[in-house]
Amino acid sequence: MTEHIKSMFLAFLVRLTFFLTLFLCANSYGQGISLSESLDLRYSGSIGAEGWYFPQTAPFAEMPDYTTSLRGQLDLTLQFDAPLEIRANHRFQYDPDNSDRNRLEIEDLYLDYYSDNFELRAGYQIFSWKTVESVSQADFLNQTDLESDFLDADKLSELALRLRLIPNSDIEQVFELYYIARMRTTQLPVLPNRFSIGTPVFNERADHTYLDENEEWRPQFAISYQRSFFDNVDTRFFYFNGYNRFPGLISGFPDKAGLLHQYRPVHKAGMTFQGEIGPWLVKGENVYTAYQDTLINQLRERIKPSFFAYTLGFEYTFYSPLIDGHDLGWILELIGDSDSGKDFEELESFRPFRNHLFTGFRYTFNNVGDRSLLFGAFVDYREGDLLFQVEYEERLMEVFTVKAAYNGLQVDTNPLTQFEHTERFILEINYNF
Amino acid sequence: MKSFIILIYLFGAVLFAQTGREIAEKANATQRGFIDESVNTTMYLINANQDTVIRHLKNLTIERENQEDYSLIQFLNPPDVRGTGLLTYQNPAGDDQQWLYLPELRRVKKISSRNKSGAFMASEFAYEDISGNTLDKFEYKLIGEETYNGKPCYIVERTPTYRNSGYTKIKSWFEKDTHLLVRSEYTDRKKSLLKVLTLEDYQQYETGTYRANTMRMENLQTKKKSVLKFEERQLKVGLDEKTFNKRSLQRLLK
Repeated sequence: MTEHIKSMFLAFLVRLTFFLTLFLCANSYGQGISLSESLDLRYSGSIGAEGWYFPQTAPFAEMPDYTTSLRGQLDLTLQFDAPLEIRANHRFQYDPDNSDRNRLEIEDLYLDYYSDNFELRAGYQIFSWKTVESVSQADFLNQTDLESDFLDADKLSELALRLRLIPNSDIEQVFELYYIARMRTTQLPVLPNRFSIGTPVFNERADHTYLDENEEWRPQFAISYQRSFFDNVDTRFFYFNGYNRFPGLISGFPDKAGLLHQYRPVHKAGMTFQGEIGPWLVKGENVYTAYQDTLINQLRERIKPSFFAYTLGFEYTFYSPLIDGHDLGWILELIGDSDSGKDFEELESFRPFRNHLFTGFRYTFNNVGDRSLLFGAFVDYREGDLLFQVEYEERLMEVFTVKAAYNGLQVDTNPLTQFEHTERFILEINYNF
Repeated sequence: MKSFIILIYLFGAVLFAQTGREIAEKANATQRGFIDESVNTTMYLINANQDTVIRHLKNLTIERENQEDYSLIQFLNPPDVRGTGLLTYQNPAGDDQQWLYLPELRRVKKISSRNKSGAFMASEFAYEDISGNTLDKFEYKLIGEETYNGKPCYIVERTPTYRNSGYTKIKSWFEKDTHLLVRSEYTDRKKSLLKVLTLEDYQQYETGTYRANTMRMENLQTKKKSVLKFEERQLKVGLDEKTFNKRSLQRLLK
């Protein structure tokens, strides 16, 4: 019966996407439909498939060697004659072998009003405070979908209100106030998901615990101030009071034989910057985190964690290094925190990158298909662990994009050593409209 | 006597150099005074086998006297990059500032404006070819006069004074009566003739500003061509300077 429902659902999605694609492509380059003199509907989207192959032996028999999924996206924007926009971005994912990875997500569903000095955006939203290329410390407002792809998780939308104030001044300054109404919890991978650590984790909302009496409805706030310095360096200063997005894991004993999510209130304060100094693009994110409650770590010690985490680096581009018109971009970033050197069991949560260097090279052909080759690697300079990715990406026939990649892990230390069997080949093909 | 002849020669050369600059100033004046501009651009990328790929862009620009012009470009196709935006603060004398908006990541990324010689959207146009208000970024020398397309023209040699240009010289033809730029020949760093630009379908707007509605760039070395066609161009539409910021970059242009 479940199999029957699954195949019906798949057939429905495929048909829906097919008809939507036909309907939307009928307007070709228009990318929009004029609904009235003062109202336009703009659209874009994609439909595609992704496959992973894991060459290493799995530690559990239930884990697959292959994972495939059908993915799609439809982004709709209603534009009014007034300074008003309504955006509705949808995403789906269907995994025929693991229904836990099936998704029908609203990525954005918000109303956006804007003027010169005031902006208000209300609804489900995805934000970005990221300035670095590797591990972002500051991009924490949105929950992430860890069950779908633990090491490259998509952001999930938050039900939020964002108010922006832009005072009249010679230098552009932006004050922002965020109110996030409800804690959006994540799903952690459980068997047969290849990223499961084997121990059962209860992902149902009813089983989650919170270190605040208002539980998921505890109001969460953030404030931010942005301005440029020296005409050339963009900065953001921020403060956040809400739950840490990555849950702590506590034992469900005696009621549940497994681990339960525990969401913990934190204060976070910090700053980001990105700027151009001569030929160098410099960028960084610095965040101080202080937990509001005392916790018990994996060594059963009572701790009240606070730590300072940073990612700092630069980007440099060599123009036409080998062939005229091709570019080679080089990124070097240092990732660390004030708990560098501590054993992971002493910490409050999953924090794998505490003493790492990231280096990345992107070779771009600057051709019509935007062909690019990428190599990126994280090196743990204390333990010698290595994570790397090689990737090829190109647009074909204007509407198809293809990506092939290999993720490698050579790690001997926790917590990442638990994921060494997740080395994988990735192939992704999308039709974009 | 020999010194006197050299002096006269040098004096003449200086006179010619000033004339070259004056022509460039007059040519620049034909492009200025537009207040602000909105235009839809279609780009045809034609390879050596004459296969053609088409790109669509929406451009907004605002003129700021004695300061940087601001421009916003939004990519309308290919579909996987639709909504990607580029904000540029064009510094008339120094380096520009640029930010790129990546809609899939909802991220505004500062990018290096050093890549002046890089291809704009895989076309034969480099970023430095499509930058406006660049009068003070060149040295000028009048090198001759010639009839081009039946019209008498000045030929001015421009030498980039900014770093990271892909060119050593640009030889440009300006119509004598209007001072409109009609042709340029670009010499690369290896001193070889690289590209030829021709500008057609000039139109004068109510602000007095001229704009070419077609620009063709041919790469003589690769035999590739790119053609820019501008449609629905409007000048003085009442754009606000405050529109040209990183926040606007994140919304679809109307």
